[in-house]
Amino acid sequence: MPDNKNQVIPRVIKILLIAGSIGFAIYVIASTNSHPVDNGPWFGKRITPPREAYNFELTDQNGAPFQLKNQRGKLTFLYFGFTNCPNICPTSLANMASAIRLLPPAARDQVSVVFVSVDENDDIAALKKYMPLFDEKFIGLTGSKEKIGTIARAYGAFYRKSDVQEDLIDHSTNTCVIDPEGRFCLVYGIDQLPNASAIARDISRILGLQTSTP
Amino acid sequence: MRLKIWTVICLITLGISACSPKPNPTSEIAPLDGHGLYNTRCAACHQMNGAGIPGNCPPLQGSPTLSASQENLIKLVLLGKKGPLNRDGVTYNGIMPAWRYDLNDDQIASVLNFLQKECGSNSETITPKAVAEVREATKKDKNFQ
Repeated sequence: MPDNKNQVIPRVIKILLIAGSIGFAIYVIASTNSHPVDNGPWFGKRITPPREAYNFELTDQNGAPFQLKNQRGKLTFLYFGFTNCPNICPTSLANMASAIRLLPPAARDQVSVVFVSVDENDDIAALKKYMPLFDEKFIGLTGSKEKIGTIARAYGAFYRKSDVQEDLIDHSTNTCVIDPEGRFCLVYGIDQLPNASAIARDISRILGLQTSTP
Repeated sequence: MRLKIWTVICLITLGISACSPKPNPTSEIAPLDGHGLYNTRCAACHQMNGAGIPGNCPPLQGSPTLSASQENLIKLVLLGKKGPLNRDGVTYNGIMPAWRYDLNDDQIASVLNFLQKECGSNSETITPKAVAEVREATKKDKNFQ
């Protein structure tokens, strides 16, 4: 009898050890490999709390008036650049197009890309030629120097003539995201833009899509 | 004795769980090789498999530029290209950035050698020195010619 008692206590310890270690292993593996779509961290830098996007009116590549508030109902990428930009603008716009292509076809129409030119030399004709290089639906905008300066400041963008090369403009490279309710909610740095699948996940989350993107 | 065996089994289980894959922080800051550069700089348009985008970016497989002279190939990467391009009767309207501002001679040589290996027909290795020479020769040239 005393022998049985001595055996019962180690058996309890064994069972607890086994159960505990198995539970811990499952927890570690699950927490390492899971990719929550709805509740995980945002890939872009979140504007907390999202604030009402500054509305503006400019002219698009077809010569038609454009108001940002008319994009309500869509997610909008807002970017400041110039059509003669050798590297940053084409790369950024191509990356945005790449992220949008990862969305289900029906969802692509819920996303718009708005490119505001900070170059006075970019007229309607230049934008009309430039935007289809990325996507026929991308919107290119131009307007007065004063208007564009005000809009850029409202979104924390800056630009100036390059010291290095006369026809170049140094400009900020952030991409602003405005949600379908018209709130400025996310910012992507240029180093984040090549990660199309992570951006597509953010878009899906903002648009409330059920399907997760690759 | 049996308790010791069980204890060892449990410790091994814990050890395995502790060794499950984790992101390697050094992989994010390590310099990218030709394949890595391709994935981060080129794949948005050319696609991961080099298939391109219909109407926008032609496929890399069978690209006459990849099989052309090293000088022309390097020049294309340095200065970029814009606007309609006809290939095999199909028009592509896209833009390739001028990479001379972002990529150094080693990086351009790496990514081009990767592409030559994957899709090209030239077996001659492109050296950083060759890139530097074309860079110097085209330093006053306009982008997107």
